[in-house]
Amino acid sequence: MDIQEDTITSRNLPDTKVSTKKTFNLIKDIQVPAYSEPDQYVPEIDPTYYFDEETTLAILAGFTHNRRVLIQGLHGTGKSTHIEQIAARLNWRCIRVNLDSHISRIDLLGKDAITLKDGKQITVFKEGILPWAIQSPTALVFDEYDAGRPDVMFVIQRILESEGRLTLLDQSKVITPHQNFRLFGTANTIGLGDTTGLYHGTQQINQGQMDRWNIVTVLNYLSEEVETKIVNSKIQNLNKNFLKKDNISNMVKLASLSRNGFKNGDLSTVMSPRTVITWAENSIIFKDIEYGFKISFLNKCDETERSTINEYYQRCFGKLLPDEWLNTISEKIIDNDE
Amino acid sequence: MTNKNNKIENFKKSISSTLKAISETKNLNINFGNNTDDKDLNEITLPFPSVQLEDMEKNEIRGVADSLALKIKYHDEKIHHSIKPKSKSANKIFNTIESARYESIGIIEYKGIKNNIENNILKKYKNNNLKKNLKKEEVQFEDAVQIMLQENLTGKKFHKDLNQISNVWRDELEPIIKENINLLKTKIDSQKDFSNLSLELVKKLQSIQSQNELEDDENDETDNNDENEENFLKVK
Repeated sequence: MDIQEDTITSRNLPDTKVSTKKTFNLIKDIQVPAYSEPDQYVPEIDPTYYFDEETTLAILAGFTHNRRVLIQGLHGTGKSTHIEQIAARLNWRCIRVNLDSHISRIDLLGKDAITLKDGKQITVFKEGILPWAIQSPTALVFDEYDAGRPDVMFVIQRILESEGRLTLLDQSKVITPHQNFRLFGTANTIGLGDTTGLYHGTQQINQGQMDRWNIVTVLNYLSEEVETKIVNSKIQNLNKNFLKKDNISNMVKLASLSRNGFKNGDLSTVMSPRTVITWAENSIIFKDIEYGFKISFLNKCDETERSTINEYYQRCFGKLLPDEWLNTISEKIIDNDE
Repeated sequence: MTNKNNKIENFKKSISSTLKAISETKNLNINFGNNTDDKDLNEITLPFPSVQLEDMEKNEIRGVADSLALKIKYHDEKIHHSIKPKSKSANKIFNTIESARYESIGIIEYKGIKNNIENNILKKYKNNNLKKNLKKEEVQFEDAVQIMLQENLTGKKFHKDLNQISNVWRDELEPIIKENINLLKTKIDSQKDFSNLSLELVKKLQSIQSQNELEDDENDETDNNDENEENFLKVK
């Protein structure tokens, strides 16, 4: 269905409340507004999803009190999915827009498009995603907020204020936001530039814009125990008893060591929870944990750091990786010279 | 830089990084040299890898590094100092029990650490023939205590050569260790509680050790008396 053709009138205010303890398994029990029925823009529920207490409360404050919430965290920690899964349980519409460097003003606001009317070609203004979303009870999520182009960022700045009205100059039209329109953002950096070298393409965020985000929350890695549970539940359908719980726990331990190595400045590649899930899936596909590790993580690492990763692997799995997987090209040349 | 030097440097870098990652401590000064008796846990000296750097040697260095990493992570010198017994021999056993504790946490958590730590005791008995039964004077009492405690704390099966070493003292040690192990196991993550509980075990182990030393002395004396008598007869 074309997003433009959707009628907004049928859906308006939340008509029920849900308990945070029952719905999200949180310690704090608060009643939050929700819709009783989903529609086509409500994401699907992932029953295995684990909700981090602090992040969930921040996002729920965004939904309940119309706060603009920005979530910062390393890649693969599930920042956007967190918002999506909360929206799914509140039956709140949720649309994700990836702010990569190709998204421009007109993609967001709209543009003149040539259409056919009564057999004649005419130019009509077609609204972008922003005017549509802002007039409906929708949660709009800007992913990679720190990678957006400056011209796009200033468009967003206008709607960052809760009563922020959007002026469409091309149309001489002023749009007032729907009272249940919500805005969220996710970013790898905190807007002060990338100090790690991990996030090429991110930029510093204008402090005037950062100031407009009401809540900034940080979502980083979960405890080993929780991560093991998540990985286990994600691969349940694929896993036919190939990976035992011990294997998954060792994978998470290795990820944890790699994150420590990264924090200590010894590794430049960090193993995200998403990589652990991919590794587990690849291990099942190839029926080989070691090979699964090679293609899911080792091959992404700098060759000079592979012997360090090999040591981590030995601690977690009790054996070393084959030498030929670690050998650098330069070493091979020296070997030939000798 | 030659390929061999390159490999040694790579190994040193990897071991240092692993030690820091396991101990979750960034600011460690790790050196490689011959004097590995470190007093300060922020200034660590690991054995210097030789030019040959064979697998066996690598495993030995891994063992030393892993044990130190676990010590940094799970051991508090202040707590240890406040509880330790006064006598020198009791203190030696007390230290052994504490290192068995923190190493056991790592052994339970990491499969590979178990293999590496086994090397720490095995390397001391490199020159012994472990296929034959060892004699008491060939085995350090503290080594046997450490092996048996770790076996019981972790519930894991250790290298068969380590059993050969601990078997020398097994009959005397096993009943005492089994008697105390269940309570100790529940306190493995709390150094203070574990150390306080272990003081009782230290006393019992110390009495076994001194009893054996006494028997040895008596045997020595009997041997000496026999010799003296023989000599006396010869002179006559």
